[in-house]
Amino acid sequence: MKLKALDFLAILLSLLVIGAFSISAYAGKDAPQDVAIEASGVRWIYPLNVDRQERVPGPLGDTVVIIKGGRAFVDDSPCPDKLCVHMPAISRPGQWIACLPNRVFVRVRGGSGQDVDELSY
Amino acid sequence: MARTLTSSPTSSARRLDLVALLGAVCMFLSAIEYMIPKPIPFLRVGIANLPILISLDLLPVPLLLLLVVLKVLGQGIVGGSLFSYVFLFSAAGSFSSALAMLFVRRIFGGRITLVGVGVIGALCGNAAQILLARVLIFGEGAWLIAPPFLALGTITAVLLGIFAERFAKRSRWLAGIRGSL
Repeated sequence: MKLKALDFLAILLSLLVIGAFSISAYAGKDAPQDVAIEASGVRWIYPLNVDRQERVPGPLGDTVVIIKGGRAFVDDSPCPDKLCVHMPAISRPGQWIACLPNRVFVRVRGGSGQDVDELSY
Repeated sequence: MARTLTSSPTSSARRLDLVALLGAVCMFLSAIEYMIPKPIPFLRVGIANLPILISLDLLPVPLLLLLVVLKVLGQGIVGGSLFSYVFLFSAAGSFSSALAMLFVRRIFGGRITLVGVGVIGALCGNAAQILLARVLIFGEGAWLIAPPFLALGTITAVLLGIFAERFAKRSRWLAGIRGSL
């Protein structure tokens, strides 16, 4: 089987879109970092360098997010598969942990003002 | 394969049979997909798209869309997500991907292989799901999921496209179907 020019063009287009998303999502890593937790339509923002434990309400119950030693992780969640609990702790801007069933999204941001551009699509 | 207004009823009945068969294959492949271990969240191989990829050249548009409906329903039943919000993602992804593939195939025809068609389909389907995630669940956090999600989608689309292209060329069963329609 031989690929044609348009196939490579399709793959190139795909790579370009991925590149554009990457740049807009992960740019800006110098500012002080904080942790954004999005759940139930609300966003909480906590500094990454202050240890704390938060219970975030979701449709299934409370997801427990712990910020400790400059890293954030999900300690417990009422979801069935516990993928978010098993995900490694996050510490760098752009890293994230998601609990899909409980609709909780935790991510490290590169500080305020360095947010993802909402108008980029 | 001549498609005219005078095509016999048996021919259209055969096409409908083919849609039913391919819909069943979609459902079966969804079950296989469901069995594949997912070490990374959001990783999907998308093998249930194979029948759609193959029937792009085989079915008229309305029947192809009917096949997509069957695929989405089958996936919902097998994955248990038929009555949850996940189903919305599945439907949005499947339809935008199928329409994109159809569009690309009808415009470029033989100048593009099923690899390129599949890659565009994956790109559109996944982008639709990311937009939906942006609106429904994660807010702007959805953009962060986008790069790995799209990258994995591209890789699996290339692999599936290679398989589909080979299958479309070599399958005697498919050649038989083409002859009978």
